[in-house]
Amino acid sequence: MTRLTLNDLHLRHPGAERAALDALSLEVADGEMLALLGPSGCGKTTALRVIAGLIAPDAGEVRFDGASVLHLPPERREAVLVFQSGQLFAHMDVTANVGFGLRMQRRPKREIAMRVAEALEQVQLEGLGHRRPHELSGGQRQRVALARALVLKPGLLLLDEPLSSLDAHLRGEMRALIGRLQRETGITTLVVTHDQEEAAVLGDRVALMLGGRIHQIGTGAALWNRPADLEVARFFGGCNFIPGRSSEGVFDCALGRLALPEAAPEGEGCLTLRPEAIEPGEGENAVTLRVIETRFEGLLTRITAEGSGLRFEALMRAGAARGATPGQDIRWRLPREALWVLPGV
Amino acid sequence: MSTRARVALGLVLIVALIAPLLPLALWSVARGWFFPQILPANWTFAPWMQAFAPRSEIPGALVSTTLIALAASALALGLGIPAGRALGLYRFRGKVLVELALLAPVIVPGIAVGLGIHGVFLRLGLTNSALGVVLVHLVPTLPYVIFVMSGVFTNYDAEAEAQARSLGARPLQVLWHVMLPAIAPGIVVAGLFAFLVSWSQYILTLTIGGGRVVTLPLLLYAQAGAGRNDQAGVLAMLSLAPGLVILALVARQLTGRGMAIGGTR
Repeated sequence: MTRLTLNDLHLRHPGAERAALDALSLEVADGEMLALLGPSGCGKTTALRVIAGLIAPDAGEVRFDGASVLHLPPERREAVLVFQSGQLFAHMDVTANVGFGLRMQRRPKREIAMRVAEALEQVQLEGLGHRRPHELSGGQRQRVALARALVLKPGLLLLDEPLSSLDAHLRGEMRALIGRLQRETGITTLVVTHDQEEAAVLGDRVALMLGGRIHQIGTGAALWNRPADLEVARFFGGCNFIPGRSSEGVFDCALGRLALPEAAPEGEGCLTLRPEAIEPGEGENAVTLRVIETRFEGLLTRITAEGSGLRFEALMRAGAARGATPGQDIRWRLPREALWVLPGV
Repeated sequence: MSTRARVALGLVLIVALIAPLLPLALWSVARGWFFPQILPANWTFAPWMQAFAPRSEIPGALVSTTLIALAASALALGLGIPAGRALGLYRFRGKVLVELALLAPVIVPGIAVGLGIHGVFLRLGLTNSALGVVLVHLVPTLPYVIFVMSGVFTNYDAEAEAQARSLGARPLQVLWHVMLPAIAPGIVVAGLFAFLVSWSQYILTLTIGGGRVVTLPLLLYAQAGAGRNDQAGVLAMLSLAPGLVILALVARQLTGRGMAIGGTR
């Protein structure tokens, strides 16, 4: 399989104001499944196309196993890109679609038939080989597109929003299928998504891309709970930012002194914690706040509270939120493990 | 509109279109047909025998008309498919002007175009030759091909080509296995249009061919002008043939589904 290295990629689409790729660097290990997460327009699809060879970057390097591939046309790269829409060829049936890449390589007919059957079995579409793309459901089309790429046994699989065109109930199924096939085949996979949950479930690691470059790479939990900067925290729905100073495991701010988890960054900065991490009641890091507003959001209730001129937002389950009514003073605990410091903000 | 009214209207249209052709068909098989006879007094195949007699110009004209129309439509497709792709897929500065310029030959009278081109072709040594006639037939055929193909390409998703490249297809393989099958119905329609337009050219063939390149329309005008109704009838029937064949072939494509020809979306 293939190790992918992106080195300081720059790309500006003609006529565009902002760069699509801005010093993008990334390393995907052999056999790893990396989720490239970012809001729409952050350049993640552009990055996939550069890796696949469909667009040339203005500057930078794309390396497969350490060797530059920039001079290679897309058909000669070890990478196969599966488009967001699936892009099945409408004039071919499922078998012909899946066998397309092998036919382009002029493989013997017997080998093609065998490998196509095997690939269709992998995606659980045995017996649908004679169907035309328009006779398939959205989920089936996506699976054919996946089989069409897997049958080539590529060194690197690039998936562009593989689940975005599917209904909610099909997503879980497809997500499990992609995960299982990746584990079984061990193909290095880069999957692009705008969905945080999808990224966390699919990726061994998650790379958050904002404004054309990677802001943070790590496990899903690390990105959620230990954001590297304000933008990362905001992207994951962070809304509590408290200015102050971190030193020797404590954070001094207008609310007093709060205990920090181990290895929290030191110095002037912003304390952040996720709204769903706040718990009602006494204990370490308990603070008194006055409730300003409560908003029902279905499963959870969003409570805005204020104290010492600082504003907090918390998301609580119905039971925990019951006590909070606007104008009332409450005690909230800010669990030490849920706190993190963004230095220099 | 009720079904009955629609059927009636259809019949009226068919009669109105076919009626003028009936006398031509009858002339080609009549021996003496004078007023006030409704049908010819005597039936004969003599005009047809004469048309295909060894000394007749008609068989040769039939062959050259066919070859010229084939060459002109092939050339028009070769030039018109890329042009239609550019117009259908991309937005660029001055696109409206380009479209207008392409439409111009359809609006400007053929005689004006023909005389202008004649001067140029004279210097290039292309007058009085079949090659010159083929080239000048591009003037009326190319716009049809470009407009049909640009319509086809507006419904074409070029992302399919990027997908094919990523799956390992070389550019020529993409052209052959992805683009051509997707636009094939459009190519058929555009090609047939071009063939028919070239097939029925008169003025451009006459000005550039200078009478040396003899096609069916030239003979038809000559015979009609000379009052040879029997030969004119035969020639008219021959001229009609490819149109009818083509109409039968593509009727399904031109009706009902409108101009939605081909495409991948």
